[in-house]
Amino acid sequence: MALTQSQPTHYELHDPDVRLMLQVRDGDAAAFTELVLRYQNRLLTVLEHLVGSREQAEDLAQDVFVRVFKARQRYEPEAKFSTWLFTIANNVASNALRSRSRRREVGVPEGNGADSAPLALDQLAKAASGFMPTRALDKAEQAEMVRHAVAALSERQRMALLLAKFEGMSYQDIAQTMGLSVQAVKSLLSRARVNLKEILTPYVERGTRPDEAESPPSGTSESQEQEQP
Amino acid sequence: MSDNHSSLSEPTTIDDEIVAYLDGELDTEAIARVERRLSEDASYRARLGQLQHAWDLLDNLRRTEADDEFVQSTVAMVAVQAEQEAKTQKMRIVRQQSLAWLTLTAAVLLSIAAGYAVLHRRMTRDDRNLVRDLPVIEHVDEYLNVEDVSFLKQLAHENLFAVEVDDGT
Repeated sequence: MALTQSQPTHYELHDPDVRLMLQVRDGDAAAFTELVLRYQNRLLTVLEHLVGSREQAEDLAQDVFVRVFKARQRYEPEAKFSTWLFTIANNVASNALRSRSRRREVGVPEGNGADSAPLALDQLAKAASGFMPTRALDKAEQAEMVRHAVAALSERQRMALLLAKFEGMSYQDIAQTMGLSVQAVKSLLSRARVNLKEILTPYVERGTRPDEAESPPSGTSESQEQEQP
Repeated sequence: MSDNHSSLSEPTTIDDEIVAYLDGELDTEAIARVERRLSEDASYRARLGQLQHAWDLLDNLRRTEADDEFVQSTVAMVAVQAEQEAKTQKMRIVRQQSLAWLTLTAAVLLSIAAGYAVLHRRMTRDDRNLVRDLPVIEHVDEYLNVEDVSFLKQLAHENLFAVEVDDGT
């Protein structure tokens, strides 16, 4: 049965955030503010762990909301609102990370709040081998260790992992958000979690962490990926 | 069974299978297979435990909370965007209206010009006809007394009335 404009879509019926966005489309400013309130923390969380900087995450999150507002008049609910929002966020973050890479290539110094380059997996794994002095891990150190481990993942692995962990997205939703096949998402998440395990398990088992003198990064694990979109 | 699950029923690696199982993305048949293996294979169980544990460690990642200014500054940015859109829209409307007036004016001017051209041509043609027929008009009284044009032509040929004939022929 073909849908007409008068018939609500599946998402309009089942997703309250879609209904809010449709109100934004109709010019309701309060509805837009409500969407910002509902999603600001979620968006900031994913973006901060993706780009490694709170300051940049805030800029990117605001960019995402402005893009949502700009797109309001042609908005059609063809997916869950969160999927659509994080699709925009993924694009915004990818562009930002790509720009950052280009700046690094030409030797442009990073501004305040920019993340240090992610540690290479091999560096972290080596640190976990036990050659470093031992110290009991406290909660803050553990959090820092996990943060470094996540930062060591490739951008796509990191994004898929963050969407799965913080947004509880299904493989289908992640695929839609990132413009990949479900199989590609499955591979991404599998590799991401294996990489995390390889880095984190030794720390957890021995309660050790790398010494403060970590080696400079030598790249991420992009070369390990063979995902097929 | 959804298409999503059917595409995941054939994992490519053990880790793919374990991770998909932990994420609840396997179909019934695959779940049964994994659970059977878990009950039989200690190393498989250990692998699952490690992957699950690493996943649980992600709970150490803090969830960011926006400060009060974030909403305000975001809404302010959007308000600026809305204002810019309104200005652009207004300029577009003014341009469209100007274009409409220009088109109307051009149409009116063209109509006037076309009408003048037609009228001018008609009047000019009438004048031209009059100029052409002037010699005849000047002697129309004499011609009305002549019954036959051939008689006039014969008179012209014999050149009896040279001065008057020039005007008529």
